[in-house]
Amino acid sequence: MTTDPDQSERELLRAQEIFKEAPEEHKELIRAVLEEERDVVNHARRKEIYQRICNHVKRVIK
Amino acid sequence: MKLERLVLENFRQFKGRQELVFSDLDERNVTLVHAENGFGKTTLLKALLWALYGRKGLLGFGAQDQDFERPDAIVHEGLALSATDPSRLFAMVELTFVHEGDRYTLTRQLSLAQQRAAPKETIPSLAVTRDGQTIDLPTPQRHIQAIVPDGISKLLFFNGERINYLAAERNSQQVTEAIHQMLGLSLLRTTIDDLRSQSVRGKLRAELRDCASDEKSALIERQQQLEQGIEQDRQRRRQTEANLVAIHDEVAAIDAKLAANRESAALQQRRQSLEQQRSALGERRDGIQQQLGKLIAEDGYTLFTGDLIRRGEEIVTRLRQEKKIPAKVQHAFLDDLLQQGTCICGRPLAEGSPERAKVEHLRPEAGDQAFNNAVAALDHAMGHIKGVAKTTAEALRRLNAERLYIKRQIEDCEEELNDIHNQVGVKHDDQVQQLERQRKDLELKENGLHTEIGRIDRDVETAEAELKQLATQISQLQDQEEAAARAQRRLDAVDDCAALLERILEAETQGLRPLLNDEIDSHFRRIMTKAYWAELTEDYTLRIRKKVAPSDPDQAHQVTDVALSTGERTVTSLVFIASLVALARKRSEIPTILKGLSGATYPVAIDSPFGSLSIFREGVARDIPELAPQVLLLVSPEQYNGAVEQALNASARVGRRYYLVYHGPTIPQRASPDLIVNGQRLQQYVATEGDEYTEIVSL
Repeated sequence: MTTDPDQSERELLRAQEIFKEAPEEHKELIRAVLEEERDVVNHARRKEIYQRICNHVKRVIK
Repeated sequence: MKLERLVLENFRQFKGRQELVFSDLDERNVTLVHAENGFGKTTLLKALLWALYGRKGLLGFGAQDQDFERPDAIVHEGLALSATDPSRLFAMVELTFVHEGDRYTLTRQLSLAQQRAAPKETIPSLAVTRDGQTIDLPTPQRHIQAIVPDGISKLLFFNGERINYLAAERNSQQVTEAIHQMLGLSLLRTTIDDLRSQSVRGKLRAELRDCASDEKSALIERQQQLEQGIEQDRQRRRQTEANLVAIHDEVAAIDAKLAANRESAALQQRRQSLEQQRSALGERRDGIQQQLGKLIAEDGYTLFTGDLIRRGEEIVTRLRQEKKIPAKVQHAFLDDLLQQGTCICGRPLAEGSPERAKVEHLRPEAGDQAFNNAVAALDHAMGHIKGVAKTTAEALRRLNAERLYIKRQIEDCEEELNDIHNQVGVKHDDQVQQLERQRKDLELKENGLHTEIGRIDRDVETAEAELKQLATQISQLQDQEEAAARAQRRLDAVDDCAALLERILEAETQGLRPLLNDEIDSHFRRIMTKAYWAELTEDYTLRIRKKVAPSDPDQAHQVTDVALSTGERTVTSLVFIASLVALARKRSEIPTILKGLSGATYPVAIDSPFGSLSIFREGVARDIPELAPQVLLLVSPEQYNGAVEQALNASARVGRRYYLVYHGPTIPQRASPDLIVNGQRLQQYVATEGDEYTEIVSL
């Protein structure tokens, strides 16, 4: 089998570029939401997360 | 996570307090439990899962699990029957493990009284020892989920005879999920889903509706209805897919029984071979249909250009015949001569002179360079299109012929499968007849579910198209009021962030694929002796590939998929898990936008790892210590003796060994009273008139 080691690097770099090029307020919102999600990502019950996401959206997008 | 010790107390057939210590040596990372079928191998694995996830762990995750009957009877049966105070008789499992430098003791217990009242809800306790101090964690199940999410556990603690589903064509979704779970990307997936959930969008949309114009409010209302419908459809689809997996498992169990029955064994074997053929043919047909789609999308237009090309060629031929192309002399050249007033031969071209008249006479026959070029380009393009049309028509004919040939082969397979169904269905053995009926019912259900999925997909597609249109209409309706504009921006931001994360997730998942493939390939080559290789395709299907020599020696070798046997599927699935575990360990070295992803060490525990491997047993046994940093294997003598025994002994990687001893009034059918491990004869059955139970004995 032939694998392209550069392909992996390219794609992972692309992921970071996509984030870097995003508008600043989107980056801030994504960081905030990911931080919230990190604590509860594996939990079955995560009701509060939706309200928390909405709060972040309202805080960041004015 | 490194497992240290598993203690069982009155858990199912394990009466009293019994324990198993896991080997924690890096060089001898395998803990081996030898046990006759029916003596408690599966229960031991289930005890580990019960400690971690409670009843959910016993039932398996998503797929129907036929390994474990009566999951609500946890307390040892004999003791339960004679208990005088049900509130004082307990079943308990305690698991000690080390994770990221801290030692955890997880305990889950269930009293007989609780088992009778509400066996499903058990609350574990989790104590962590950190810097010499032990504290009880307030939300144990949450901590367990953070250390080993249940989505990962099905890849770490599993029945080796059932793991081959990962390599099945239809399970690419599960493979992708496994990658996301194991490599920490599920955080992105969950975040995307939450951003798009109705709970978030509904709240933000309500804000918009409250301050938007009537026209816009109506559109938003419709948008919300459509989104709710799509979410419901997607839930329905997930449920339908889960039902399909469950049905598939049920069919596999029935097939195993039919294969074990003397009356139906031969026909069942033929059926399995035909079903594999049909599946491989189906894959080929799908591949051809994809090629056909690509061909038509890219070059199909050339097939409709015949008339145009003919007319174009006629025009070009006429222009040539009229000597308009190629032109003998250019307009621009004659104009220059006339303007300069001198011929190239040096004669003056004065107004009214015969020389000037001669040059002017040439003008109608002269051509334009741009026109010449354009006609030449058109002529060339027409020639090219004609050539493409010819090769496209040939390729279409060839692919279509191949598609029809495969279609006929599939029909032949199906016809023979139907014959087998008719033959098995009228066998004298009642059990065989009943199994065949059940199998048919399940097949019909399966077909119904596939239709249902198709219907859902169409509904979602239609709703999404309408949604897209609505989104354009809504954004075109400008809101004057600041509040409405802000509410719209918020909604747009949520959409944009979800789309952005989706692209990031896609790029990261694609980025991990070559890394995984390198791992998969290196594991696979150690097991397979044939010139095959395993890989994860672009659509996340696990495949085994091989090179095929071309009929024409001038052409390059072609790569084709190998139709997988059950053994090959199992090997591929195991190799995939090993690769994921290895990559999870290296996670911190792989770039990601997610901060704080550390390398995670996971153990792997497999019940009957060598059951469905056929000729690959030896290869897997040789490689299995490399599967994970810590490996627990629960093996029957039938699977162990011979090639597996030799390979595992040669590896010198077994750190601890146990065997299970059954105490009971009669020895189970087909079981031997003695167990022979590496030439040592061990008593594995003890006759007793008292309670039946199983004992864990260290070797």
